[in-house]
Amino acid sequence: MKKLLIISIFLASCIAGFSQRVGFMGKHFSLNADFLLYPALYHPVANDQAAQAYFTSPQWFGFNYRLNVNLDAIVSKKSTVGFDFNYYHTAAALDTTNGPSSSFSVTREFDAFAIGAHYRVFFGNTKAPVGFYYKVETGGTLYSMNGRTTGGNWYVTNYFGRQHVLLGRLIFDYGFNFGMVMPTLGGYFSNPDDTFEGRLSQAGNLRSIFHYGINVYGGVGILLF
Amino acid sequence: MKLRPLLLLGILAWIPISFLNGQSVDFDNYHTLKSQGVLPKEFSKTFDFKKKESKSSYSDLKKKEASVSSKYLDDLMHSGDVLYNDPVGEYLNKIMRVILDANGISDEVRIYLLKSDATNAFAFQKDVILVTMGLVSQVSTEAELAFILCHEYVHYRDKHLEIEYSENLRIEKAERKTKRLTQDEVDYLKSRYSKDLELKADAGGLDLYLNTPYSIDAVSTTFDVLRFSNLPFEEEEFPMAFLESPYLKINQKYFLKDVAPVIVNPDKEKEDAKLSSHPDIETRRTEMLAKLDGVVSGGNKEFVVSENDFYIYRKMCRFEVCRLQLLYQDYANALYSGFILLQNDPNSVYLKRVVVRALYGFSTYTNTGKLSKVLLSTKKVMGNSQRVYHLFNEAKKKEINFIALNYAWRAHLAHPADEDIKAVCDELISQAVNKHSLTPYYLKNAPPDTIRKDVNTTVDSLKTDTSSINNDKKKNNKYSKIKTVVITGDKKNNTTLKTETFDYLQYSFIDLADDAELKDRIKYFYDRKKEDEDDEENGVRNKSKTNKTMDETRPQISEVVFVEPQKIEIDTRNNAKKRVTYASNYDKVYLYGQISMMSDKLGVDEKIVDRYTVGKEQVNELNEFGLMLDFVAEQSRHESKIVMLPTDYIELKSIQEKYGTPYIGMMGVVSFRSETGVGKAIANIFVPFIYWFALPYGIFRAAQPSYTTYIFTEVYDLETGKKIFTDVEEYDFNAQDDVVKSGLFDIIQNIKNKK
Repeated sequence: MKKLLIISIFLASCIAGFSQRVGFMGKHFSLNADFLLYPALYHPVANDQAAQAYFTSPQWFGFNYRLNVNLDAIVSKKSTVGFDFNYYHTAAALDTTNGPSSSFSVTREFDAFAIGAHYRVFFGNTKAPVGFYYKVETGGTLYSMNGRTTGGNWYVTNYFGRQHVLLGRLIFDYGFNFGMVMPTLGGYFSNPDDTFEGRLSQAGNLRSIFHYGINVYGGVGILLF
Repeated sequence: MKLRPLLLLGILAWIPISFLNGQSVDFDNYHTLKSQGVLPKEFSKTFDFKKKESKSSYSDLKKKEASVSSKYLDDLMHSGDVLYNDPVGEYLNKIMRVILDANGISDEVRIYLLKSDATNAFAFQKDVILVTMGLVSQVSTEAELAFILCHEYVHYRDKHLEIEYSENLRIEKAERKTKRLTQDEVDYLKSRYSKDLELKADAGGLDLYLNTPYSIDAVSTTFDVLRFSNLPFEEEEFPMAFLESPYLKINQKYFLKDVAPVIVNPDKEKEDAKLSSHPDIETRRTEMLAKLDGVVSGGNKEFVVSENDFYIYRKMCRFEVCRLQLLYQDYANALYSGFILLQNDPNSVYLKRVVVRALYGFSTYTNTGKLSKVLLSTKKVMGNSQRVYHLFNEAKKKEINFIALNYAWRAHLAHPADEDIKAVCDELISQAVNKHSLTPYYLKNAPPDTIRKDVNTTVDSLKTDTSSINNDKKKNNKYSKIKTVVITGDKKNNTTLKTETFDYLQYSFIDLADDAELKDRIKYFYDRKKEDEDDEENGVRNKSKTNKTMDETRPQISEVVFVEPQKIEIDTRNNAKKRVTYASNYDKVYLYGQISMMSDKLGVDEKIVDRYTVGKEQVNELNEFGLMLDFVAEQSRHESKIVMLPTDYIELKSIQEKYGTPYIGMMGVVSFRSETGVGKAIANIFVPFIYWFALPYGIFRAAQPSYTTYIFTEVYDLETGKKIFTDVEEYDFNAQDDVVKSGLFDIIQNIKNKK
C-alpha cells in the first residue's frame, strides 16, 4: 500500500510537471482491456475447451487467448506507465510413460494470473496515447493446474501496436506481442524430476512460454480522467 | 405644403448621387473604400455553421464545388477583397454598359473592384468580371479601361475559363496515360492553349470595342499599360529633399544620379512568355494593329462616361494601392507612390501615413538586419523609383531610423490628432533610443557655425521644382515619360554623386529643440531603457521583481477570435490526381465544432469568423472580415522576430471593441501525403535490425502511407501587432479525428497559458 502511494505520488508529480503538454484532451489515465491471441501449435487446446477435449476431439491447430487489463498513466509527451493484470485459461497436456513400452497423455485445466508493470513509448511525431508504440511489460505469473498452485514465473513481454482514440474517450488499439517467460523453478528443457509432479510442472512452464511467445492482439479502453 | 415631401425626397436622392460623384471625395482625410448597402446576388452563398448540415445538402454542396471556377469565385466574393456598391465599381459598370449598349447586348454582366495591386482583370462565370485596383491606378484613359473590359467580356461570353480548365484536364489525363511528356512540356501545352484563348479574346474584344465611341488609339496604348505594369503608376524624379529637414541632410552618396532607363526587350519578353498563360505584349499588339489596318472609321473619344470621374476614381485606386503595398511589405513602392500622390495632395494625412508607414517598415527591418527581405537590390529596379531603392540599400541603420523618425515626427506635428502617426512615432523613437542611442541630449547639441552655414547653403539644393509638375494629365502621364527613356541597347552604368557630406545625424532634431512633446517621448523611452539596463546589471538581486513584472505583462488569454480556421490536405506524390484539397463546408463545421468544444472545456471564450457566415445584409461584417483577414495575412508575412504595428491600426480598434478582445488568431490543420520512398522503406525494415525487436514495427511502417499533419496557430495582439503566441504540433499521421483533437486541445491550452 505504501509502495502504491509512493508510485501514485511519483506519477502525479510527473503529470503535474508536464501538465500543459501531456495527455489527451486533458485526460491522463486510461483503463484498457486487451485480448491477445496466439496459435496453439503445441498441444493445441482452445481456451473454451475442457482439458478432456484434448482426447475427445483432438486438434492439430487452435487459438489460445490471454486477457490483459491495464491501467495506463500518461507521464510525458510520448510515454506512459502503468500496471497490468493478465489472466489466461487453457489446458496443459503432458505425455508420460508407464514402463518402457507404454505411454499415455495427461491433461490438466490450466489457469494463470500475472501481475506486472509496463512502460510504453510512442514513436515518431505524435503524442500519447495516439500513434505507434512499443510497450514493455514485466511481472510475475502464477499458474495452477486443476486448481492446485503448481508454479510461478517471471515474464518480460513486448508489444508493438497502434493506438487510436475514438469519440474523444474510447481507446482502440491493436498490434502484436512477443515475450519470454523466465524459469524460476528450474530449466524448461532440462530433464525434469522423474516424477509426475515434475513433469506436470514442466508442462505448465512450457504452456506459459507458448502463451507469451508470439501473439496478435486487439483491445479497447476508456480514458478516465 | 405638398412640395415639402418631394423636396425631402430630392435631397435624400441627392445624397447617394453626391457620394458617387468623385468631386466630393475628401482626399486630405481619405478613408479606404468599403463595401456598402445590400450585397448583390453574386454574394449568394452563405452557410450557417451553427446548424448541422443534412447529408443531402452536403452532396449538393459537393456538386457545387465540382465547379472549380464557382468555388474560387465564391471564396473571392466572400473574402472582403471584392468591393460592393462602391463608386469605382459603379463607374466601371457604366463603362461596361456603354460597351454592351453599343453592341446591342442585353447581358447583365457585373463588374466589381478587387483589392489587389496587381494590374489585372478576371472574367468568371456567374456574370462577374473583377478588375483590380492596380489596373485602374495604371491606365491613362477611360478608353483603355473599356478595351480591357471588352477583352474580359469575350472571355466571359465564350466561356474561356471553363474551356481552358477542361483542356488542361485533357492534357493532364493524356499525359498520365502516355507518360511521354516532361512537366515542362505539359506546362507548355497548357500555356499554348491559354495563349490561343487570350488572342481570341483580344480579337473578339476589338470587334466589340470598334462599335463603341472610344478612341482607336487606346488599343495600342493599353498594351503599354500592361508592358509597364511592373513600374509605379507615375514616373517622377524622387528628390532626397523629400525626406530631409533643415538639419537632417542625407548623405549625397546615397543619391543615384542616373537612374536605370526602362529597357524594352521584345526578345526577352517572348522568351519569358513561353510558359506564361498570356502571349508576349509585342505579339498581341502586332496582331491588334494588323486587324486595325483595314479599319477606316472608329471612335475617337478617350472618355465617354466622365473624364472628371475617371481621374478622381483613378486617384482613389492609387490611394488604395498605397495601402495594399504596405500590407504586402512593398515599402519602396509605397514610399514612392506616397511621394507622387503628395505632389498634388500635400495635406493628405492618409498619404503622410503611407510614407510614415513605409519608412517605419524600412527602419524596423533594417534594425533586425533583414532589410533585404523587403527591399530589392538597386540593380533589379528600373525607372525613377530606383532612387528610393538605392537610398535605402545604401543608408546605414541609424540613418534610416533617423530619416524615418524625422519625417514621422514632422508629420505628427502637422497632424497631431492622427493616432496612427503618433503610434508609429513612438515605435520609431523607441527604436532610435534602444538601437541607436538617441538621448534627450540630441536636442541640445548646437551644430558648429560652419555646419550651420553649410546647411543653409545646401538646404533644398536637390529639391525638384514640384510646382512645375505638369498637371496636364493626358499628356504628362507615366507612359509618355517612359518612352523618352526607352532604349534597346545595353544599360548605362549607374553613377552616384561621389561627394561626401558631413554626418548631420547628431544634429537632426536641433530645430525641434523646443518641442516639449518630442523631448518627453525621448525621455520616456530613454528612462525605460535605463531602468532595463539597471535591472540587467542587478539581475540576480532583482530577479524576483523581474519575474513578477513579466508575469504581470503575460496574462492568460481567455478570449480570442479565430479568423477562418483552415483544413487542407496536400498530396505531394508525383502521380497525385488532386494536389490540394480544401475542406468542404461540411468539414469546416466539424473543425469549428471541435475548436469550440475544446475552448469550452478550457474556459477560453473563442469566436470564429468565417466568410460564409456573412449574410447579404451584413455589409459591415463583410468589411470587418476583410480587415481581419488583411491583418492576419500581413502579420504572417512578416519575417520572424519582426514586430510592427498593423497597417490598419486604427480601424482594427473597432474590431477589438466589438469582440471585446485584442487577441486575434489564425489556426489550421494541414496534412501532407508524400511518397514513402524506397530509401525510407528500406530504412524502416533494416534499421530495426540493430534493435532486433523493432523489426516488425519497421515492416509495418514500411507498408504504411507516409503522412505528416501540422496543427498550427498564431495569435496576435491587435494593439501592438505583436505575435504573442505561436505553436505547431506535428504528427506522423493523416489528419484523423484523434490527431486533430489532441493537437487542437493542446494548442488551445497553450494559448490560454501562453506557453
